Amino acid sequence: MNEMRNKIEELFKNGEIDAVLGYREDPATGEVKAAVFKKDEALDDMVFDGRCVQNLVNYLPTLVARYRKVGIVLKGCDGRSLVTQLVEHRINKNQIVALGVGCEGVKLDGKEADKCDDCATSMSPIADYEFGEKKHKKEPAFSKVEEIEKMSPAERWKFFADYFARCERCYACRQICPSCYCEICVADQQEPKWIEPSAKLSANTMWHLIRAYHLAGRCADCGECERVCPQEIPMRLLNNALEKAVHELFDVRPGTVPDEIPPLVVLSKEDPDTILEGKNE
Amino acid sequence: MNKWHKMKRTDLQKFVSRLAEKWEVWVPYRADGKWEFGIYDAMKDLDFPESIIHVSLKSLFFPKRRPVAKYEEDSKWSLQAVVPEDRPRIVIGLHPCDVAGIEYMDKVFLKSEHKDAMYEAERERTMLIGMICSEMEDNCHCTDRGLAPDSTRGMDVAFVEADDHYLFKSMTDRGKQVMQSEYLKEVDEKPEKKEWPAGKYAIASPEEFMEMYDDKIWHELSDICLTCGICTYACPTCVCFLVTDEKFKGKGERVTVWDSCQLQSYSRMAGGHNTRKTPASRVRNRTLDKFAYSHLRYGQISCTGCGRCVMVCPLKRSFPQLGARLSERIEEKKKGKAKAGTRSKEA
Amino acid sequence: MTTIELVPKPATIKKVIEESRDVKSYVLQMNRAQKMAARPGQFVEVSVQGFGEATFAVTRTAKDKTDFTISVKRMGHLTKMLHRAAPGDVVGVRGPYGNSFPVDAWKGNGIVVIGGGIGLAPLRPVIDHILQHRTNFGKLEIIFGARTPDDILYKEDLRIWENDKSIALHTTIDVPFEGWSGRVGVVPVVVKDLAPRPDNKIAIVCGPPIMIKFTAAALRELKWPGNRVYTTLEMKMQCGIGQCGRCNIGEKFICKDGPVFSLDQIPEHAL
Repeated sequence: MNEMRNKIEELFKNGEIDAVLGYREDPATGEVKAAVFKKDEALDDMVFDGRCVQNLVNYLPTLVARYRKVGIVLKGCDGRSLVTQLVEHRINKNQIVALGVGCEGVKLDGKEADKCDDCATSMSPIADYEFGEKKHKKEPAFSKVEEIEKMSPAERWKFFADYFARCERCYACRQICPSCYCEICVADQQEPKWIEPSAKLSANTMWHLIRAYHLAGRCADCGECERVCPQEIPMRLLNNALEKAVHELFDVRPGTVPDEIPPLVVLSKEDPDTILEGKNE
Repeated sequence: MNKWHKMKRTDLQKFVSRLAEKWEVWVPYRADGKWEFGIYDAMKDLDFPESIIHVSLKSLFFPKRRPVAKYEEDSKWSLQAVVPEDRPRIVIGLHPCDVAGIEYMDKVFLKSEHKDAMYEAERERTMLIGMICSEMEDNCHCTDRGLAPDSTRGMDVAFVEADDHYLFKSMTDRGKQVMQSEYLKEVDEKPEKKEWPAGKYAIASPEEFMEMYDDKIWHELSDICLTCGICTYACPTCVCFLVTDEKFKGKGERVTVWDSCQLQSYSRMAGGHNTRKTPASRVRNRTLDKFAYSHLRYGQISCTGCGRCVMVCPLKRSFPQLGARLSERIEEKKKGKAKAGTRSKEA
Repeated sequence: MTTIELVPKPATIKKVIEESRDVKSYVLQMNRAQKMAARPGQFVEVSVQGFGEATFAVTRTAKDKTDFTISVKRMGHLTKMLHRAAPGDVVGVRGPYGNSFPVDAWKGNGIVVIGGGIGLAPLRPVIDHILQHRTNFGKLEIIFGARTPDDILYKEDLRIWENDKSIALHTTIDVPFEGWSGRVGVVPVVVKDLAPRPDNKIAIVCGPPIMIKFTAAALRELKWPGNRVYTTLEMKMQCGIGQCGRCNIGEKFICKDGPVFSLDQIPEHAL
């Protein structure tokens, strides 16, 4: 931590960055929150540990618009998010300094988050500076997805319908996702009205399924969507199911390789064409 | 003389069961540590938390999706208004901040030239048996919003935990209906009067907030805010809605659905013009609405100090801290102005 | 039977008028013999069953308050549906809502009407009122700007106003157009050129947000005090009854405290 603080101070000093996105421990409450540290601000409250759950990549677009160049503290999963943002040209690499920190997992409600079981990269794949240890990549488990896949279609529908019925369409999942950045979201479009705005089962189901499809091949599995849902809908299952398919078809885990273009965005000769061969996978 | 009545702890479930024979009764239930009101179920344990119920009562009076009219044939005009529900019901265990939230909704929907008839029906059919808080939780700050954890205003019946029993008192004629119970005995005892802490998130006056409209601080305050809207869904007084028509196979409905001033699409018009395009403008709108506009419109600020916004914020931002930070800035500016009066130049 | 305000009442389209390439006017009549007593500046919420609802100024009311007219510019989802409607079709109507131009307080004043495009729609009932009570008002000046000659609305009315000696009508289009020999220039610039003076006059302005902003600035430069310039802000109104929260400017709701405002009633940033 001190190593990183020193590096940040150095970067401020030589004028390379104007602000740093990191995690601050609120001295009054002991809570850890996402925070912007500006030049000349003390870094004593900056922390990095299992309480640093928020994905900071979300705030980069706003901050790089305001400050010339921004440093960002990155967990492994957040780093994968960043890779997607860079590949999709939402941010330029020259607007940021990536500070990768070896992550040992984050805690949610006192226990280790589910997403950490399948962590593809404990260190950000993009890092101008690395701090801490880089751990071994975990093999994709997708075990929870496999549990659902064992259910019959009727059981699966019941499982998800119960959750979707609770959805309030607050769109917190969309707002917190760095990869959800359409200027006019499909849910807000009027012509045509793809998805009805009201919070009923049919429309809620459409919302969750369409969002999952729009993220297929791009979801870094940072887990924020599930964390913020006020109704505790396990929507990561949908994202993971699609990432499992992407992994099987294209041998890709989104965001793990810098500059790798998401497989569903590009057509290449090596793409499996089982559909054309008449096989159903 | 309207006195308090004593009920043994062990009689509470029986009392509620008896009520459930005549009325639709709503009580708090806990799932995974989160409290939420649900319809009384005799098979579940009955418990009343001493402080905040996590999920607000908003949806009981103003549901997240509410049909106001339906039509059966789309080939001709056949839209019929929905008949509002009139089955009498009781909500037991809501706290003073919940009641304050309902009173604010009354101002929006009832004290209007065009009363909302469906909201009115929900209010008419509901008896409120409110619970006085025994403690203030970490995020509670109703005392900084002109409210008190032991207020009985707006309740039909008030009750409070006391040692090994409960004390009940009717506050309105409607409340009297439930007081003739074998489980309630009139006593001279009164609830213990407590001192409640204040000052955690004190704020400036509505007029002072209004002067902050053009201040640059809104950019700083919205740096880390995704305008996800989760605070608006959790807030008991955020009732912005969308009127939308839905149809399927020749039939349709007009519904109101919860909307949020925090979302990009809220103020976007056909043609693309959006009066609140930037996150800073949306954060400003909500903050000023809660602490200033509501007061100017209805004589009551809409923030009840319940702290739910803090509980649900994915970034662990604190809306009350935001209000406090603004209030600090207001003080700074006032001092700056005062200083400028006595010296020729101030840094 | 409880009245639920958000439920519209049926009205039949009596007549459809093609005003310009993307604006049509609809003369409506409430089905159940209800009157539509809309004052100048008030608006209605019009719906197509199952498709949604939008806000439209009442641009003309019959003397006996039976027929009323709205002008619809084809912009999006609902207006597209409306543009397919024909006489005999039924639409839903709620209202009239909002405040109105304080025409009674303006007696004795000259009136300068400044409209841009579809912005002329909410201003037309003021012109109607003045012409019906001509001796109550001084000089009537109308400045109307359209983007191109194909966007000129109310051609019938323009002919009448042109021929009325008590009206000074100035029609302009934004940029030069083949076949147009009339005035060219955006409305704010035309206002500066014509330089109307504020003494004993009231100006009313309506048009796209950017046009209102620059016209208000132009009038300010010409020393028009804020309480002599009125506008009607039709911005993202939805429920029309001050409850859905959307149309607020500060603590004011456009649908309840407006849509008519004098410039000194609204902060500059609102334009």
